[in-house]
Amino acid sequence: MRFQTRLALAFGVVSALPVLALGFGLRREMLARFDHQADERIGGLVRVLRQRLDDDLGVARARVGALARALEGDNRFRLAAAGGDRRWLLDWAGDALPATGLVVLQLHDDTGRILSSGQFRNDFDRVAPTMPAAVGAKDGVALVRARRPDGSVLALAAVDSLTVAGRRYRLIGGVAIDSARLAALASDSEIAVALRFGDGDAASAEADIALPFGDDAAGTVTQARLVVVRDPGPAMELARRLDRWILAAVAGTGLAALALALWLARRVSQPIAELAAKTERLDLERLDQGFATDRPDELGALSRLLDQMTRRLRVGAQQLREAERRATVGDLARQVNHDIKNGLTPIRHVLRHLVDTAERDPDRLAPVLLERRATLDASVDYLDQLARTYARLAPSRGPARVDPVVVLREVAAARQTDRVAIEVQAEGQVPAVAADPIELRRIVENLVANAADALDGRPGTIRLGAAVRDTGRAVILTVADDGRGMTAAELERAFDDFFSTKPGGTGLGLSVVRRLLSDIGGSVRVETGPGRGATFFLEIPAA
Amino acid sequence: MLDVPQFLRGGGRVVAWGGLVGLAACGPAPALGPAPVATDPCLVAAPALAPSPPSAVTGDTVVVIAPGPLDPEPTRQGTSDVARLVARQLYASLVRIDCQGRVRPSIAERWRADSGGSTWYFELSDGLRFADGSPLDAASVVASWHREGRLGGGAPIAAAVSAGSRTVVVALAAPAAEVPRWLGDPAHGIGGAPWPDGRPAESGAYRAGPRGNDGAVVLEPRAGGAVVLVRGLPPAVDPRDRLVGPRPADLLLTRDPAAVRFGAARGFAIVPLGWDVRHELVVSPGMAPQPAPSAADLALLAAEAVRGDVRPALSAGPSCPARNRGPAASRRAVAYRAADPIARDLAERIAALSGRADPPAWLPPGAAGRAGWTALPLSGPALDTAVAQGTTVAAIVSRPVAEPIGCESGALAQRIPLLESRATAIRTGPRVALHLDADGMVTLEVDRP
Repeated sequence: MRFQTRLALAFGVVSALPVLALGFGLRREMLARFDHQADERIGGLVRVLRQRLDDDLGVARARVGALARALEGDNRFRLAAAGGDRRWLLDWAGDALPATGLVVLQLHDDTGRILSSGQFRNDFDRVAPTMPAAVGAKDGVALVRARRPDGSVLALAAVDSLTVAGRRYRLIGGVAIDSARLAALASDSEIAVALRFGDGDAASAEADIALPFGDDAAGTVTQARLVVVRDPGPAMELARRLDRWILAAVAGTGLAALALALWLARRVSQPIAELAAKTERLDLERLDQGFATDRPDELGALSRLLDQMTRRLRVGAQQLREAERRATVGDLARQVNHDIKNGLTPIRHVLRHLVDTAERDPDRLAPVLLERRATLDASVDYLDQLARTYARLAPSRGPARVDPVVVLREVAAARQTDRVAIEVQAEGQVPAVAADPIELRRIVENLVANAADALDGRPGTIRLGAAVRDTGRAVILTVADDGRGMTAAELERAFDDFFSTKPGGTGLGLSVVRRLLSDIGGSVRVETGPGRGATFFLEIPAA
Repeated sequence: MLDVPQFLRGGGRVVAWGGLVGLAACGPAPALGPAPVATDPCLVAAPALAPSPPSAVTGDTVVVIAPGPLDPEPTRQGTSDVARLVARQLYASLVRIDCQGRVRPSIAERWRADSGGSTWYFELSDGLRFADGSPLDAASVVASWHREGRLGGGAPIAAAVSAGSRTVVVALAAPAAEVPRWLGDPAHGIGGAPWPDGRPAESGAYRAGPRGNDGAVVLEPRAGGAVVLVRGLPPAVDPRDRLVGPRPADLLLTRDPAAVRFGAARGFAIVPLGWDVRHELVVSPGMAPQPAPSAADLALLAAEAVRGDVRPALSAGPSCPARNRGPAASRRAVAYRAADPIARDLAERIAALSGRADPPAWLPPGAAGRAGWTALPLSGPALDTAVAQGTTVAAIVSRPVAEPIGCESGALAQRIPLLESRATAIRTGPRVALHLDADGMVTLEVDRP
C-alpha cells in the first residue's frame, strides 16, 4: 500500500470517526429532546382539551337551561303545545339557534318526537330517541351527531327539561365540536386532536377522553373518544434530516481529510521520492549526486546527512580506487612472485640435486645434468613464457590443444623431491584439452604445491590422474594428497582471495586456480576432511 | 304545435290566405265580448284599498321594486318578477286575462269567433300607435307575431292575417275556444318596428327611457303622468329595507312572508297577486314512478313545511305511465335552486321525510333509511343540469303555473306537482293602481284619478 493511500486512510478514519460519534450523539439527544417536548405538548393539549370541553359543556348547559326557562315562561309555547300556532313552534328552534351560538337545538316531547329543530327545521314530528338517550347516559352530556338538511353536525350536547301543562319536554342543545375545530386546538402540525367512534385504534392514541355518542342518523348510542395523536412524521423527518447532516459532515470531513492527506503526502513524499531517485542513481562510479538543501525540517536534515555521506563516499571511493589499484598491483606482484617461485622451484631442486651429486658422486654429474636438463629447460621455458605473458599484461594467450597428461608429467617431474613422491596415472586415452598450456601448468603447479604443503614436511605421495569423462567431452584431472585435509569452514573459504592456513602463505593459490579454470571453461571440486587428505577434481572441456 | 311562419311558407300558405281573404270579405260578426264589469275585483285602485300613506310622496317619479335581476334590455320573455313587471308595462297583448281568468280588452276592444269556432276576429281599438308614433294596426299586430315567431303558445293556429286596418283574423286548424286566452299570453305582447338599438317599439302604456344612475329601468308614460323607476331586488337584500327610509318604494313586489308581515304591520296595503309559480318534485329517471301525494299530504306541506304564501298544487298532473328506468342518480340528495326559499323548504322537508322509518308513499323507494337524503342547494344552471342529467335522486323545480304539467322533464324524469305560490304587492302610497292579471303579474296605473 502506498504511503499516500496509508496517509489518506489514516486521516479519513481519524477525522471521520469523531465526527460520526458526535453526530450520532447529537442525533440521539435531539430526538430524545424532541420526544420529550412532544410529550409535554400532548399533556398540555389534553389539559386544554378537557378545559375546553368543560367550558363548552358549561356554555351548552347554561344556554339550554336559559332557553328551557324562557320557553317554560312563553305563553306562545303553551298555546302551541295546546294545539295553537304550530308554525311558531316549528320555527322556534330555528329562530333561537343563531342567537345562542349553538349548532344543535331540538325540542322533544315526552315521547321523543321532535317538536322543533333548530338545525333542521323541517325534521319535525320524527321520533328520535337517540340523542336524549345519549345525553342522559352520563352526566347529562354526550357527543351527538344530529341530522341537518345538508348532512349532519357533530356537537357536544347538554339536555334540560321543562314541564308545561303536565307534560314534560326535553330541550337538547349542543356546541360544535367538529374535527376542524378540534384540529385548531393543536398548536402544531405534529399533534392532532381527532374524534374516533367505536373501539377505534386505541394503541395509536397518546391520550383520550371518552364520551357517550348518540348518532341520530344511525339511531345508535355508542362510545366516542377524543384522542390526541402524535404524527410520527416530524420526528422521522427530523431523524432523516439529522442523518443527512451527519452524513454530510462525515463526508465533508472525510473529503477534507483526504485532500489534506493527499496534500501532505505529496508534500512529504515528493522530496522523499526525489531523494530516492538521487539515491538510486548513486553508486561508486557516480557519486556526483548532490543532496544539499536548505529545508529546515527532518527531510532537510536527512538530505544534508545524505550529502555528507555522499561526500564521504566520494572521498572513500577515491581512496578505495587507489587502494584497489595498489592492491591490484600488489596482487599482481604477489602472483608474479608466486609464479616465479613456482618456476624457480624445479630449478632449485635440480640445482640442489646437482650439488648433491657433485658432492657425493661427481662422476655422475654430467649424466644427472643431462638427465635433469629437460626439467631445467622446461622451467626456463616456463619462466620465459611467464615473463612474456606478464610483459604483455595479458594473462591468457588463448586456448590451444594441450595434452593434460604431458602437463601432469612435467609438473610431477618438476615437483618431485626425495620426500614427496608424485605419481601420474592416466586412464585410457585421455584427449587433449583446449587451454593455455602455461595456465594449465599454473593450475596443476598450484595444486601440487598446496598438496606438498599439506604434508607438513612428512614424506608422502601426491597422485596425479587424468581420465575421460562424458564420453570424451571433458577430461577429469585429479590431484590427491595424504595431507592433513581441510575442515568444512576451511573448505568454504579455500578459494577466497588471500585466505591461507599456511604461515606466510599468500592465499592466492586456489583462487588463481579457480579463476584460471573459469577462463578455460572448467570447474573444480574438492573432497576432503580433517586428516583425510584432499582430492581436487578438475573438469576441463576436451578440445 | 303548428309553426305558423313555417305553415305560411309551406303549402298551407295558399289555403290559409285564400280562406282568410274570403272570411275577411264577409265583414265582422256581431261582437261577443267582453262582458261588462261593474266592480272590478282585479283592480286595486287608490284610494279605495290604500290607507293613509305614512310617508306620502308626490312628484314626477314613482319607485317600484320587484325581486330579481333586471335584464340589460327589457324583453317580453323575462322570467324574474321584475323582468316580467317591466315587460308587462311596455308591451301590451291583444287581450289580457285578469286575475279571475276573464279575457279583458287591451289592444283589441272586441273579438268573436265564426260559427264553427275555427276562425277568430279581433277588432282593434281606433287610433292606437306604437311608442315611435307608427300606427298600431292589424297589419302591425300580425307582423309582430311573425317577427317573434312565437304565435300560438301551444295553440293550433294555422295562420293570422289582417283584414283592414283594425281586424286581425286568426285561422285555426281545428275549432278552439281558448284562442283569446292564448293570445292574451304576455309572451305575445305586440312590438312595433325595432328602435335603432333593436328593441321593438313599445305598445303598452309606457316606453323605456334611458337607464337611471342606479341601473333602474325608467318607464316613461306615453299618455302623461309620473315616470316609473323599476329596480330589481337582489336575493341578499332584505325587502323590508325597501319599505322604510326617506324614499321607500311606492310599490314592492315580494315573496318573502316576513316582508309581507312587516308591510302589514306598517299599515301598507297588502295585495296578494295571482298564483303564478308551481313547485314540482322532479324524480330522477333512475327511480321508479311514484304515486302523487294526497291532498292531505300537500296541505301539510303547505301548512307546516313551507314558509311562504303557498297552496297545494291544484292539479296533481297527469297519470304518468311506467317507463324505462334511467341510470341511478349519483348523489342521494334533493337539489333545489339556492335562491328559492320555498324550494329550499320543500327540499329540506323531503330530505327529513326520507330519513324516516316510514317515509310517505309518494317519495321514491329507497328513501327509507336513517341516513336519508340531503338537501342540496344549487345555482340555476347547475340545477338545470342536475335535472337534465338526473344526477340527484330528486330535485325541486319551479315553473309558471300556466305551463302544462307533463310526465317528463329532462331525461325521462317524473314531475310531481307539489305547491303553488304567488307574490304579494305591498303598496306604500296611493299613487299606484294595480290591474291584477291571471299570471300573477300586474299592470301599473299611476295617479289614476
